[in-house]
Amino acid sequence: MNAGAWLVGLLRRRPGRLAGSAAGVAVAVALLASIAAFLSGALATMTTAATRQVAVDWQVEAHRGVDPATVLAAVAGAPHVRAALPVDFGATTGLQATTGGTIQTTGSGVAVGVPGGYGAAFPGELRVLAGDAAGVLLAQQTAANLHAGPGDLVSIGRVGLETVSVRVDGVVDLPQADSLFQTVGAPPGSQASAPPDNVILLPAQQWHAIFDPLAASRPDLVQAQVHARLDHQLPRDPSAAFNQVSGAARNLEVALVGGATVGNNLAAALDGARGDSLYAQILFILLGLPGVVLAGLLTATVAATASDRRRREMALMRVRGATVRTMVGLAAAEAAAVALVGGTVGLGAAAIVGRTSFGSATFGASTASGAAWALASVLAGVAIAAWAIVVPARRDARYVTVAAARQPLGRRDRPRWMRGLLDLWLLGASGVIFWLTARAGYKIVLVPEGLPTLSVNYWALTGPLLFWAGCGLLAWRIADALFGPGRRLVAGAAQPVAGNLSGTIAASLSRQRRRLSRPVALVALTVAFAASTAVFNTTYHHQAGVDAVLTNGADVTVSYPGSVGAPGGIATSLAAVAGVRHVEPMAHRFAYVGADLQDLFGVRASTIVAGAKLQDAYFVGGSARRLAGQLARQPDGILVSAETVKDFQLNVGDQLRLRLRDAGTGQLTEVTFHYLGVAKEFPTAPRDSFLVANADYVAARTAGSTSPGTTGAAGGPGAAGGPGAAGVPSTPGATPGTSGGPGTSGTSGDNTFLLDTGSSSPVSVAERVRAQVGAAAVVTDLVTSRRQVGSSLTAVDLSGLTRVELGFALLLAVAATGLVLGLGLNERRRSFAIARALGARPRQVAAFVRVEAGIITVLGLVLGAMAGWGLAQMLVKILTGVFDPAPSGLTVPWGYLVGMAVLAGVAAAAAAEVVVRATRRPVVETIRDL
Amino acid sequence: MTDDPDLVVANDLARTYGRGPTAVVAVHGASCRIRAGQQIALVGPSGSGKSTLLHLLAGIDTPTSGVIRWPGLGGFPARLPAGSVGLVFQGPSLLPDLDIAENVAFPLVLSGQPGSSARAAALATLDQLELGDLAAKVPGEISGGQAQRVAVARALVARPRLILADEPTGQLDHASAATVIALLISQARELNAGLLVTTHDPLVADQLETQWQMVDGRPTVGADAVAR
Ligand SMILES: Nc1ncnc2c1ncn2[C@@H]1O[C@H](COP(=O)(O)OP(=O)(O)OP(=O)(O)O)[C@@H](O)[C@H]1O
Ligand SMILES: [Mg+2]
Repeated sequence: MNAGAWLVGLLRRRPGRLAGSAAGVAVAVALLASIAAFLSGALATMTTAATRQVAVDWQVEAHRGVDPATVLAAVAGAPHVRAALPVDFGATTGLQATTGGTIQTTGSGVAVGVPGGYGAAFPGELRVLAGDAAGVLLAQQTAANLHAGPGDLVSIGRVGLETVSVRVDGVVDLPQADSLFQTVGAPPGSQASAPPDNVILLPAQQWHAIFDPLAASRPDLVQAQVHARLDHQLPRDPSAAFNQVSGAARNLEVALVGGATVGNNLAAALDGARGDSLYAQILFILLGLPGVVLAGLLTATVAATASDRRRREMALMRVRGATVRTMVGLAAAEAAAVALVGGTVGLGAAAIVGRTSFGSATFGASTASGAAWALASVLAGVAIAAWAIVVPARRDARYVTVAAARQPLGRRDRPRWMRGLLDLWLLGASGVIFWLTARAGYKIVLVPEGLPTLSVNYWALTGPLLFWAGCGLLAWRIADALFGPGRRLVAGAAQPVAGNLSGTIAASLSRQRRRLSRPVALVALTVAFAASTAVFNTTYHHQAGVDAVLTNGADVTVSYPGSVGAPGGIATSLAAVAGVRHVEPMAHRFAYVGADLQDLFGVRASTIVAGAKLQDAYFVGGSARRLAGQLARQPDGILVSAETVKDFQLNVGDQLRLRLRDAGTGQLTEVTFHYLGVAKEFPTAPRDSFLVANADYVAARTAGSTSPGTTGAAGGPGAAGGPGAAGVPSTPGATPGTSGGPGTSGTSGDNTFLLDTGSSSPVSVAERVRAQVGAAAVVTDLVTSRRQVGSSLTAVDLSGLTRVELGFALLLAVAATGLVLGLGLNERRRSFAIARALGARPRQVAAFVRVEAGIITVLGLVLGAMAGWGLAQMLVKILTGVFDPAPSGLTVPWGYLVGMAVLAGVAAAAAAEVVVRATRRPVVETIRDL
Repeated sequence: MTDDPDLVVANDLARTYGRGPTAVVAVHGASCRIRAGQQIALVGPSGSGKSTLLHLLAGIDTPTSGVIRWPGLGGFPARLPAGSVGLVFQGPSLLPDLDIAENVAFPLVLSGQPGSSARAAALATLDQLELGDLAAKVPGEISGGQAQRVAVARALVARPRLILADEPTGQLDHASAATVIALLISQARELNAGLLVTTHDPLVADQLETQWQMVDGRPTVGADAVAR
């Protein structure tokens, strides 16, 4: 038989089946191409976002005895290097300034020598706050400690040499102080040293004039570096970019034969991004692939709606002498047509989706990868069409006998997977994998020791995928059992719609259960996919919001830098600002835990939970409310980080001795606390380690005597062993000597205020607060910081992907219910026509249709919702790594879920009504036509 | 004769399939009536419009022109009470997803009978046709001839006033054909129902008291019953 004629005939007789199959392929192709477009765009965004935040790409540190000029020449000559400038570090025993008749002294610090043009070459490193951008510059904190500004004289202390005076030209902020003062060559992951408190920047010539003599006597107290900026012509994939940058740095080190070490800030930034990029790819696998699989299943189901008829057709063709080869050939022609139409429509749809959701109509970062992705998507479509159409045709052509073809119910025996309990095996395997993953701490992105590459624990990802598949098959089994042995239940459920027909309907459904269970499984799989994706995405967005809240602390946060202190009554006046609903004061200071300096937050236990909107997930060992209650009952209670618990082997109730700087004497005093629980996150707190205690208790224990404390320079000369080591401050920043106590009337030394703005805009409230407090305090708002903070993954913003995924999920849910039901029912038009001819009223025929559609839809929705709930739990657990912070529970997008259920219901109802309407066609024609 | 009410009265019926040059006129100028207790064989060559006329008389097809009424069945014009017409199709017409008993009981269930009593009646009818053994099978599992007899059982189960059977013996051997016709005749007599059987088989036709001949899309011989 001629394939073209066959296709034309098929198109005339079975347009629904062909269009449905093509639509399924189109959805798969469009979904794949859209996600690919998103992914490649996201990777590129991550790379750019990661590189943009780096002020100095490389800090190449010359080893002692190596001529810095050689290093400079080598760096400047290295490939990709755009700018290279020498920078010198020298340790100072302290700085001193006389202003307004008083003398202020600081502890030890670092003097940095920078050449002219440094600020222009590395724009992110210095931010001028006052005065000039060139000349002698004081870091902001140091200027505050010294009460000094442009035009003031500052003297620089040197070990074993007399002090030198310089005149300050400007005050700068060092936003990247952490990396600027890093210990170059320190193994990654080693305790990062805090930057020095006191920093002065000198023009290169002046620095050499002052510190070359020191270099001669104490070479260990100076350090030469070359700072380099690279051209950032990097691969778009963060991993590839990381590899390129690390490789270049290693080459440079080799070229310098061990004369210098590269502090690779750019690679460090890309290192974070490549982990995130792997997570993006995992999201693709977990959230995108099931969608493509679903579209494939949908196609297969649509193609299979007419399988009984096709088997009969084939048997007839066999009788007329058609070979298996011919029949498979005809099926292949059908599949090719479906793939062609579906692929074209799918790519077109993806281009539209890309344009509207991601602002790009191409499917990849470059033309080549775009073409590759488009091709891959279309190939997936071809594979789906072949699998859905050719494979069953081939099987039927081989095995279908004339006798079997007459049997219109298809094979009666239970599918092999059902007999082999495949669904239970899948669920079991998923459970085991999940358990193993949980035991390993949900580590999905692995950082193998000593290897430069990251790897994904793909094994762990199979957990949710197997769970999903297992749930689908289990839904199938449940539906099969309900339609079969449970047909009394079906009859009971049908009673209100079908009356005395309900038994007959249940009997009819029970004999069709092989055909009916499949759509139930499909609807359940789709709903599970859509629901879990929606829940995951909503939780993710919610947590991204929580992250911003944590970083900013509150809607609006007002913080007074340590030395200034908050003026008395500030909390009251802040509360009076329009739009402020609540003011939660905290006292932020530092404390030594052993040798480790940590942030300590003094809080009001009675108000902190509500005032700072604390979540249970921030804590271990109790809910936020419970731990705050314990804190309230136990004045010397303290919450510490998990790390501290481990390091000190703490058990609840154990005593913990911290060293805090006394407000009066300025000396470190020991304060005893009792360990209550673990805090993982806290508003405004750094990620790693911090402490939370009662503000009043801390204040009372560190109020000291009446010492005026004019000079608090505790750091002895020579304490610093080089610029790196100088980073360990001997003067914790909270209360440098001059402050003489918190300098506040606030009894607890409150210096941080978390403002709840309720429904008012944080931005405008921040504006008003700024006007109120002036320049003395730093005022930040949630909206602005949400834009600034976050990992590169949050920077990518999943909202585009979310919209696309949720849209596709909805489409699939509607298609699974509407299309599959409609086509399935359509196949039985003949039965309905016979019923009409036997005297059935339209209402009675409609009862058949509606009961079938209703049971499939409701069963699919319910089972799918249950599976989706479990799946979402699993996904959120397994993908803990993308959440920052980890969520305390799921955030459920009720609106979307209810909307989806309603839409699926409407689609099912619409499909049923279309069929009901079709049964009203003249009966005889229907019977003859079919 | 006049005490027997007219079950169905057709006047100048026409049924045309399709339009324009390819239109097929299957029935044309057909006028006839069937009274209760009347037993008619409708014979005629293949394609002469027998099935079409039967469908029109059953009210499951609408005439292109002409008037048809069912005064004796209380149905006017085409909304006949469920079960009042017993219909046997020419081709396979059992519902594939119901077993034989359920198929036979189906018209009763449609007329509102509870499932259990409908089933009992169906089993009784099946026994009458010696088909009791098939009750639990599905249509896919029985032979074409058996299916045809089941269809006859289904047509009789609701004790109809009008029985319209389209080639009910087409696939049967002579012996079974004779049984089926005898059953149709005896049941029609018992129910005082009108009976119309289309057939190619002269032996079958001879058993019925009246014979109508389909010629040119209209029943001619014996069509004395035309509405006046
Ligand atoms: N649905 C239809 N569409 C078009 N033509 C039709 C249709 N049904 C019947 N016909 C035509 O109407 C004419 C009468 O058909 P009908 O089935 O009534 O004949 P019949 O006398 O029952 O034949 P047979 O003895 O073979 O069953 C035939 O020419 C047939 O081709
Ligand atoms: Mg016929």
